[in-house]
Amino acid sequence: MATRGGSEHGAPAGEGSPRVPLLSLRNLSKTFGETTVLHAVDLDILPGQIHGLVGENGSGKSTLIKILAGFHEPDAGAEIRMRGEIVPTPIDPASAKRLGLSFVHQDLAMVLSLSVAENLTVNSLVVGESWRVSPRRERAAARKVLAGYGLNIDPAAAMSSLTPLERAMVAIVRAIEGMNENRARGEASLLVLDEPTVFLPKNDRATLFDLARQHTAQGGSVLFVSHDLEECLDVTDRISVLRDGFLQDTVDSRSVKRSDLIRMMVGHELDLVSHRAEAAAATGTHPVVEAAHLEGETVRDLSLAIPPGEVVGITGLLGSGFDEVPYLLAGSRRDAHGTLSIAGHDFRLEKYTPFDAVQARVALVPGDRARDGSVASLTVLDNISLQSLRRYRARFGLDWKRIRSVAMQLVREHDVRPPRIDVGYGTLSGGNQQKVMLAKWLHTQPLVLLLHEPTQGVDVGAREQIFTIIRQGARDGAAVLCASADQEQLALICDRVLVMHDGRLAAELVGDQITKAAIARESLQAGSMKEA
Amino acid sequence: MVDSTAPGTTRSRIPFARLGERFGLIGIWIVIIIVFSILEGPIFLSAANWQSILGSQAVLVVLALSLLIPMTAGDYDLSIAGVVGISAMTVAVLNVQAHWPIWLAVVAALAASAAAGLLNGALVVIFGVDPFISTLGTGTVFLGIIYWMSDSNTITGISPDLVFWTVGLRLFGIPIDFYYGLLLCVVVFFVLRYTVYGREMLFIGRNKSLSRLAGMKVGKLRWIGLVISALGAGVAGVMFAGTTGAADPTSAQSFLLPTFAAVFLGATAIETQRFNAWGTLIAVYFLVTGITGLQLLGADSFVQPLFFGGALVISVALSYFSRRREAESAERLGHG
Repeated sequence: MATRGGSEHGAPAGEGSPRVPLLSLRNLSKTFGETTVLHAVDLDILPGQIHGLVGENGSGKSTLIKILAGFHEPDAGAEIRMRGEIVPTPIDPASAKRLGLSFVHQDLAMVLSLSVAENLTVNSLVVGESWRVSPRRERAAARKVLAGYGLNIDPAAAMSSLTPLERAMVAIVRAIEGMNENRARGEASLLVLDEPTVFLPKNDRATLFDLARQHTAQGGSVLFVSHDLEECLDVTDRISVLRDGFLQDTVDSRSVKRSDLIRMMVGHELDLVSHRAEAAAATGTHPVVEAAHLEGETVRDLSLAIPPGEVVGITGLLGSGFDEVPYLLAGSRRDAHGTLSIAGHDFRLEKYTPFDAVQARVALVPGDRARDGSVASLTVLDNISLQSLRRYRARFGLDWKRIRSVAMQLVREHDVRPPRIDVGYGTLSGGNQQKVMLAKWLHTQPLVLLLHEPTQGVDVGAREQIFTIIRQGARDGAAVLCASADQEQLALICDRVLVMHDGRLAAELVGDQITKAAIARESLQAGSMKEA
Repeated sequence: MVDSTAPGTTRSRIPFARLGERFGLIGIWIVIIIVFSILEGPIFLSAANWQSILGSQAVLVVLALSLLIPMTAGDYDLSIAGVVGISAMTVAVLNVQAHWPIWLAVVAALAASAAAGLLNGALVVIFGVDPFISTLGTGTVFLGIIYWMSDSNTITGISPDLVFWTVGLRLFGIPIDFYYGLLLCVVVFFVLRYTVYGREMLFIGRNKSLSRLAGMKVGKLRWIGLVISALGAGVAGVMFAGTTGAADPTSAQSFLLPTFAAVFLGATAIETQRFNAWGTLIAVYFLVTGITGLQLLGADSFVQPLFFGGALVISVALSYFSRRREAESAERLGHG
């Protein structure tokens, strides 16, 4: 599809020649030092389409986005065209905006302490014509914009008071609105969504994609970067797959099979093996953890018991409170009530702290690794050894020789790549970071292992390894509770799945009853039952 | 400088750059020693000059090393200079005006300093005030207390025993207080590296949420940190009173900036990107060498603030710069 002719500036794309790509990349390469992370990528994004870009961590997809955003300069010989018109590289952020390129990154770039209206108008502040700001007019304008997208969000509310979903929606609205001028000129524009859904519960994501579709309905395109295949297949029109810096193929989302996509991404087909224990070996054993009448922010009167060696999943729809349970059991929520018994030690939740939890050998691997689980600026050694320092004290202080050799052994056992302990934790990929977290906690030989979205931000290959590690932890005697909205994951690793609704337990699935479909059905049914 | 991206050089360059980062400060120190030796020869290299360089800054060394503990947990203690003043003035008032025996006056000074630390900790832990602000406030309150205690006068005539045990006694010609600083350096190095407390403070400094979930009693540990820095400042105050045999209400304030300069500059050496004891010790003597050398060359009193202020700004800028470079090299691995 040759577009070399180059349409005149401002010529409406899409109308006469629907096949003229909105964005066209030719021979796009990027080399850092000796490593080439992108190899001559050719990619066309058609107007009015949602285009998926998938690939494992390290496949080069973030580099590609960073070139578009102007963070990196592509190697010489690359050609980037927007509506057929050549874009000089490196792309500077101002001209990206003028061309109609708008980005929503994973971190959303929101100032949490400011209001929704202030966050929405921050971009126009810079380019606005007047030096004066009218907060009232700002709020009125923001309300109108939000209403235009069917969002009922108070513009005066602090960003921090919004749910993660609402924050993401505001970010997307801001990005779409940022391209208003292009729309006014009749130009189509490209919205780049760089994994903005990673930290959102699955159920919320559909709402976001409705916003994206509003953009494509107006003739714009969306480039959607993700490592979640399911999601990509659901929402996109076409999908491009990157592996090791090479563009494998661009395929039609409706006709491609999931297994084909996985093969393109990882180079070999992954078997989805159930990691469930052969028999329900754990039944009959006395539970190691028993919680009674838990009450939290959303959780209401929840009781559960887990024997050693059992992996229990807990799930539900958004707002059902399932994601609060691990944190309640780890003592990290302040306004909690109920009683908890761990291996014979009784606690009242009002007074139960993370300190007590760790003393009682409860391990929590939180969902937000960066915020609650690790320090990216320290090394793998620092991070992996934190929980077991007290075990390696010699007469004169910490025995670093022992600590290092244990850390090295843990890194090897858990197949952390690269198998080195002096590298910065932040340089590891998501999957390897998570392996380090699990290794750190499992080395404390926990009685109770609490997990929240253990494979969030983890690539397909490492996901399997993490399942194996979790199962191994259970075999070693831990009672495992895994809170997740990823129904497939639960179906693969759990012996029992609890489904919550409105803060209460609504259903329980055991053994072979556990399938992805069954979990989905129960989650949805639980809701309708209550309402009936 | 940004490393060259020319092929073939990256592999050999990384360890060299790491080494350069760790020992760069020592390298520059050696260079300025050589330069001053050439420019001034015998005076600069004389034993007397080196005895003065090493012996004159023990108060600053003790202060900077004590500050490392709360700084590791991310807590700025801006009240340390005030505590130095309180401690020195307590010694002077009790020993000279109230005729207490010197050892009892010293104990009282340390108790007063610890109390100041307890107050700082209470504000931070119980009321949740940012230590940067709360210690800025308490430091000024302490200054007020010093004026009140001393009636704004300089008090002279502190027991010669204290003077003897601070600067009177010499070992290899260097006043004994230099060795106090050296000893404290070993202790702080040990605490930060070889104790669970030191490691916990490091994690608290980097990520409080993680530290809480890891089972640490974050508030208690930070509180202890602020008491340690105040107690260290108390020791520094006693030594300050001992070096001059007197206490005046204002001069302790001049320690605030040099202390922070030494701590931040120290974080660019030995264990880079981390507040560390040996780096801090080297930073103090690096700064003093530079200042002494320039003063010998005839530079005026402007040299000192120029040097300390410059060191603070440059070291902080350097640390941001190398952190950004680290982030970039992480990105190169493709996990951006």
